[in-house]
Amino acid sequence: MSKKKDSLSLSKVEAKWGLILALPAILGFILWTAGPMIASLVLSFTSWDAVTSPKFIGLSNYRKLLIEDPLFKKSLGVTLYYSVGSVPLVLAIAFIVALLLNQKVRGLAFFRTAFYLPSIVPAVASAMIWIWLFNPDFGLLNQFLGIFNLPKLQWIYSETQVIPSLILMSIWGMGGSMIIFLAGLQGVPEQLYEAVEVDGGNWWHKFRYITIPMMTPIIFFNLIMGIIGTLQTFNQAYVMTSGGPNYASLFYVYYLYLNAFNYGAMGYSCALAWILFLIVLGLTLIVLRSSSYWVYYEMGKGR
Amino acid sequence: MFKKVLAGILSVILLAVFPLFGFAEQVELTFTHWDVGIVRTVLLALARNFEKSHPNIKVKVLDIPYDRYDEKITAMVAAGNPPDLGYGREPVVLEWAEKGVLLDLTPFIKKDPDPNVKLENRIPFSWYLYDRGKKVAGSSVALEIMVLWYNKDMFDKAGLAYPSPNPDKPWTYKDLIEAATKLTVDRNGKHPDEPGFDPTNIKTFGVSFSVWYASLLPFIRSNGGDFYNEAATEPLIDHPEAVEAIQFLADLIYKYHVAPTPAQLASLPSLSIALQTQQVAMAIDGQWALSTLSKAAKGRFKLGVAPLPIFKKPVGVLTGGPIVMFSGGKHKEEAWEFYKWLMNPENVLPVMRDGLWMPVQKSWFTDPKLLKRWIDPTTHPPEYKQAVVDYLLKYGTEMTYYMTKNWPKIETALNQGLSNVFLGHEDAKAACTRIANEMKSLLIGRYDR
Repeated sequence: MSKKKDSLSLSKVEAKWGLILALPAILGFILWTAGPMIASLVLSFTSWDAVTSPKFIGLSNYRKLLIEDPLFKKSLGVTLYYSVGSVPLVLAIAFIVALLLNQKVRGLAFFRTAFYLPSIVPAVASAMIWIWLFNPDFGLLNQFLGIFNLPKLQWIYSETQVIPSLILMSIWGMGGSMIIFLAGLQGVPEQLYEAVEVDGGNWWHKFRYITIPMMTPIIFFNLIMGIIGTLQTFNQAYVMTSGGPNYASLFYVYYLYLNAFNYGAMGYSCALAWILFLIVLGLTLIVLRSSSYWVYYEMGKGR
Repeated sequence: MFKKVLAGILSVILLAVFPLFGFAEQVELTFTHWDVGIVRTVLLALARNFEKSHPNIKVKVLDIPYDRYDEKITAMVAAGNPPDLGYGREPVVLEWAEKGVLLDLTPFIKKDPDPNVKLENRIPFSWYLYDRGKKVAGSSVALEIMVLWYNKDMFDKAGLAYPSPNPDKPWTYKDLIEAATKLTVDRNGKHPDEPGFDPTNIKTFGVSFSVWYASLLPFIRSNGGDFYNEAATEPLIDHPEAVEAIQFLADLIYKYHVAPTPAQLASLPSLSIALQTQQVAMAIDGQWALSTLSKAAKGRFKLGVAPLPIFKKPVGVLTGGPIVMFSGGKHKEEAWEFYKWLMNPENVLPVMRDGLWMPVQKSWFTDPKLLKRWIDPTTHPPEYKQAVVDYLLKYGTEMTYYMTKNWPKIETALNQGLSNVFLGHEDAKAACTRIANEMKSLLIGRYDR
């Protein structure tokens, strides 16, 4: 008698249906994320060229990677340089633009669209546009410098200028972060600003004591997304620079691609992929741990 | 009742078996390639003609874009479903052969009486050997060589003599500089040797070329040097002969200002349009460019061709992508039949007359009757036989790059190392020294020795 009651109990029925409806997502994760990740991990301990069967070689790939391969260090350095330059800059500019777009000005819808649009241009199309902008002879950027009688730059055609040029290009795509900041700004309760006014504060106090603290969760989110995204940069190297000049834009994922598809070193590429995963995981955990010191969550349920 | 059931079963069996009587040996071959346009059309026609004369074989022609070719073939092989035969991308062909992905064609060549397939009847260096030269991975279906294309009208207008078409007495690098300087002009009408010339505002370039190993090697060899030694174990790129040749090519851009920088080259239109609109007077490119150049030239300008200018001696580098057979293919005898069909110049004559391909059999280069059949005077410039055929017969050297182990990594080292030289930021000497260092650990020999 009691058994029959159990199987009909609401929580059990809910649990069963919850599982069934979550199954597609779970299966998807297993088939297309977890499965390949495990396969990649196993392959990283082999030498495999994709046309013959994999040969187990233990930690050889990792040893070669960490000790013998100068291009591993170079590509990691290039990618970190780009990341350290791009992430803070994009965050800051996206934040400032979001602040500006939160004001009641004329043509607001137009400006919001204009700032957001570049981020939905397909990556390869934007790469082609920027190749033209960067052209040393008649690209718009050098023309612009020419107006102020500044010397023309070589942009992506110079070993020293290529990464700063790509960092500049990354700012153009800040629309995604900007929209999220804007949403966050609009979620800040008005009465908090009014309270500051009542206490005799000005715009700076509003910004420093209300806006920034209320926005820290968004900053936290965009920071992590920025780190994860920039460390996986590929298109610019593949379409614009081929990793040059002289390895100066040899991004990590581009180097991984070369190893997998040009050099037939699939096992080595898997090892590269897992090292990148560990680095991204590590950085994300550091930011996560630090968040308790600087991220303020709203008083809601649970926190 | 039983009789009806029996009759039913028998008829079903007969119906099922009947089709097999008619198509007892129907075989379907898969042939992969990366060509587009006229070559693709010819390949499809070729396949259909082959099917007509071989009614039991069907040929499925699979188009794969060039920059996805390796990936797609790799995926097919890894899935256990390789094509029967197809183009082999030169940088990886011998590696795949060594790994057993490709069939050794030696037994087929030995057994077949057709003289078209015998290696000794071919232009030397048009085949791909591996296993220390004992096995054959494939053979080119079309021979290739780099040459100098030019617009004759521009030379006429400037009152200059054409580049020499005679491979025994070709232009020297000095002749090239001289003519290119007279032909290069900026938007104010000034030549590079006149005061006030603006290299950022050039309207017409005397000569253009893309920076890749196929453009560099003929000049380096003409100067007596090479990328590395014949055994592919020691770098030679840091030796003065190679450094001089590379520096010369960079000087064409930055010292003599007669050639476009990489950025300027990227903004020029395709070669055929650049020659037609007189943005470029001469171009170092493959003989295969004739296919597009002749179409652009027709009725608009007179196209000319010449052997490459030399330093010390004439040198041409012969290349040509092979057709290979895959060891996982299930119909090897039938695949060989189609392979032979492709190798027969008679079957691919339209592509040769178009200018894209050249034959690989010696007789088609030396027998005047056969030469007439593939050198179409409406597409090929009149000096073609001298400037291209005699050039490759007398001075063609082997293309070592695709025979070299680790070539993809060596190529990357070469490209990255020379990038600053051709951007005008570095001297060839420093770059070549660095590249030689990188090459040391990569040069481990060849597949065919």
